[in-house]
Amino acid sequence: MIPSDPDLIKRTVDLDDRESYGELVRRHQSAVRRFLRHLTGGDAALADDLAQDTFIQAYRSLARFRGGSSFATWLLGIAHNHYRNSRRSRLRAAEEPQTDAAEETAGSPTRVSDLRHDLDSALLRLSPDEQTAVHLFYRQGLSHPEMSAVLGWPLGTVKTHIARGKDKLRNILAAWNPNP
Amino acid sequence: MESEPLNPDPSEEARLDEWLRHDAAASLPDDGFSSRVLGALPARRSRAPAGPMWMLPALGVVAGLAIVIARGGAFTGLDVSPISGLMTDLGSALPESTLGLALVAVVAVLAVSELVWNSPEDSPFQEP
Repeated sequence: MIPSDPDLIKRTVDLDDRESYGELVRRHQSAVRRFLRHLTGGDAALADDLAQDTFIQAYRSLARFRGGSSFATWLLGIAHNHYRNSRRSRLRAAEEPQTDAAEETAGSPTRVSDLRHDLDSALLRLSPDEQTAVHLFYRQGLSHPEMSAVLGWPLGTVKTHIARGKDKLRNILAAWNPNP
Repeated sequence: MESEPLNPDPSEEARLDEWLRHDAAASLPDDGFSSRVLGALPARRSRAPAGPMWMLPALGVVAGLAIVIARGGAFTGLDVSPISGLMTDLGSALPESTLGLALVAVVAVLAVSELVWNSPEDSPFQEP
């Protein structure tokens, strides 16, 4: 029988069972690393560093996890906080203007050869918050309340960012492909 | 402000949803990531914290025995008079200062063991 996340968490906290925590890491590493790759604009090395910090922080705080949300949602919330703190300290250290993947200018759509590439380019035209909302909703499959918990946004803001992002995507794609 | 269709075509909506969810199920290969995380976890928690847990009940048992002996086996129906007599003889033979020192020594040993067993060094939730 495959142990559930709560079982593995209990074994980790009660017995300091590293194998159980290893199983939790293996289960959730993909979601956390993909989310951080999205936030860092595809910087895999930085995303993996932040993901490692996320899992270590989660391990330290595991005894305080009350199960109010799913473990995955809790992890993504820690990952989001780590990303924000890391970006803040990097900006402070470098004294550079804020750069974010979402603010990069999308490549010329005339060179885009397929819809998949169109969509990736169109996503880069959205605001950072809209990108994050669309990513968590469509690619991570989170519900609105889960997104609200991860990002610390009110439920209405979550819904607005998703709807606005999707409207923008529809318009951008329609403009690039007037006769699909 | 961008123009937005008031009533988007449902089939277009479904197609856009499908595109957006296209790689939702794709998962990143672990590639040793989990091993790196486990290797970077804080030091293991010591198994010793059980020490003071047994000490309290043990002291309770000792105190209970002392009461039973002092009352000559009351509540138990046991004949503890030889032990009671021995204790009385011992109490009268030793000066009060020796008994006081013994009490201080016991308290000191308990305090030191508490400090040693509850040292935060090994806690997994301790900041490095």
